[in-house]
Amino acid sequence: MVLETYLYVGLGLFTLLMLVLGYLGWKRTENIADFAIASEQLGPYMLGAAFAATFFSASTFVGYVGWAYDFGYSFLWLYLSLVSASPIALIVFAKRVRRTNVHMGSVSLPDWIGEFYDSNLLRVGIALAMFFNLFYIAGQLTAGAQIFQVLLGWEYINGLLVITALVTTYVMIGGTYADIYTDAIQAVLMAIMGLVVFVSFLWVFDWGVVEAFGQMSAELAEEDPNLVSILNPESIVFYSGFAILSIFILEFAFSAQPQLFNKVLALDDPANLRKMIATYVVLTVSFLSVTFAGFYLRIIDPTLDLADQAIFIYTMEFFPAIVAAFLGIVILSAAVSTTDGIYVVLATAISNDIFRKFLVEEGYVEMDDDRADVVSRYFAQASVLVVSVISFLIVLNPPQYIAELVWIGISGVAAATVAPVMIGIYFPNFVTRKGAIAALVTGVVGYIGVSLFLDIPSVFVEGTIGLILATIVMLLVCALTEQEANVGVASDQHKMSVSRENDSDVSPTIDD
Amino acid sequence: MATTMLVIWLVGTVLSLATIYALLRVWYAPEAEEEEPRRETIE
Repeated sequence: MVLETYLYVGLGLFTLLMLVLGYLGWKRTENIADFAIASEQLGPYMLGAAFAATFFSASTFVGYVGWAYDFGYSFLWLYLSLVSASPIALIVFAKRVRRTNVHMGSVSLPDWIGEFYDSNLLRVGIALAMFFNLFYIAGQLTAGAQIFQVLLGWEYINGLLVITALVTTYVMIGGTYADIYTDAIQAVLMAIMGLVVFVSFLWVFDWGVVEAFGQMSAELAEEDPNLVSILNPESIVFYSGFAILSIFILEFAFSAQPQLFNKVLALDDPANLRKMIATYVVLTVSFLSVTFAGFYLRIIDPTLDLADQAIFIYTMEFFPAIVAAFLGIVILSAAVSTTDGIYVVLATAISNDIFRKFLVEEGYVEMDDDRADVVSRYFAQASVLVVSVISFLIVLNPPQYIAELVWIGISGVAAATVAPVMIGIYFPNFVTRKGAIAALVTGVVGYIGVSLFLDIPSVFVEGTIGLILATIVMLLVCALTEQEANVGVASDQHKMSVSRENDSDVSPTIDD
Repeated sequence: MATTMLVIWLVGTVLSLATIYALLRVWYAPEAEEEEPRRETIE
């Protein structure tokens, strides 16, 4: 009863805060550049926090705790990949991408790739590949629904309806300004929760600080030696050396995901990237601390049917009601902070990447700029609704592992996009448009083929195979073809000369 | 040993953070170069 009261109050405040910030974001949003990348006006600490909050979704707090619960210490390979591969990938690509975009002025990943390779086929193809993220969104919605189900005793379907309606409304109003404002706040909440859960062993168990890890290991080993082993052959993702390697590869690729990519584009000054990245890394360690709840609960109660419920059960048992309610709000924040970023990506893909930059600018749809602005904004908002409906339907029945569902989405996007981006920014003299197109097709078809026709337990392995195939094909095709005009380095120089000649771009305006 | 993976995790995390720190210091050191005029920053 007390928990329910706190939760309803907390949910009410959270909803109010989101709607207020959504409104403020809406007031600042005048055009598609505002909607997609807040017109490059945001500072490094806020963006670093937003990056971290977008990166770590409900999948971390719900799904990864579930994996830690079910699979034990071998889960820590995922932790390691998140503090090494992902930040290093961001360091590797962020500076170059941000600098190229100073002249290119792209507002999204498909737009950036389209500009870099001077290809509408790539722009549209990559924009369509963004729709793998439907699975990612679905994973967040189901995590949100489980909050209502487990903490408040609601029917799952009602929780799913409420979370879907809440996030949809919020995104339709505010776009990226709203996304980043709320992300920064949510990052602080997530960090606090992660650290509090990590140290909770001090009162949940009778262990001292010094012997805690030894005690934890002994108790887990007694239940099942696989829970403390370096590899767990009974897990779906940590069962072999190559499966572990795949995790590192995909976590490296993950930093180039479009909803994170546009945070890099949104930074006001490329010189601030260091502060932004440092902020994100510090927050990463804080967030990930929450996953130890999976180990703790496994010792206490190894009988859960749905491992994803571990974090809820743990906090309800061992924290005061107000803290358990706080956790519910934090998980909701984590789901929202990622989901709204992905919604913006998908809405931008349709309204800017496909509609404005391709259909209108190439003359397939005849429309003046003013009308195109208005129509593209309607497309953006309508796409949010359509995406919500499809994602809702995907998780009408809750999945066994939220984290697995999320990674289906991430893997598809990574297989399509990582090779053209990473190879392009580091070898701009070498890449060709044909190579990038070949990578896109190979990555998508390869990933789908592997997922459907090969019996591979790990979604990371499936994604890695798609990514490796795309990379090999791109390298081969680039080696065999000549670089086209306006691609890569030529593209940069062309864009620089155009931007020097022109006055500042007249951004399309979208009036209320 | 039951704690081997924990040791790997701890050492790996420390090494990773140290590597990231070093990379940021080297690759992202402030440089004197021309950039676009800095726009109004919102923190």
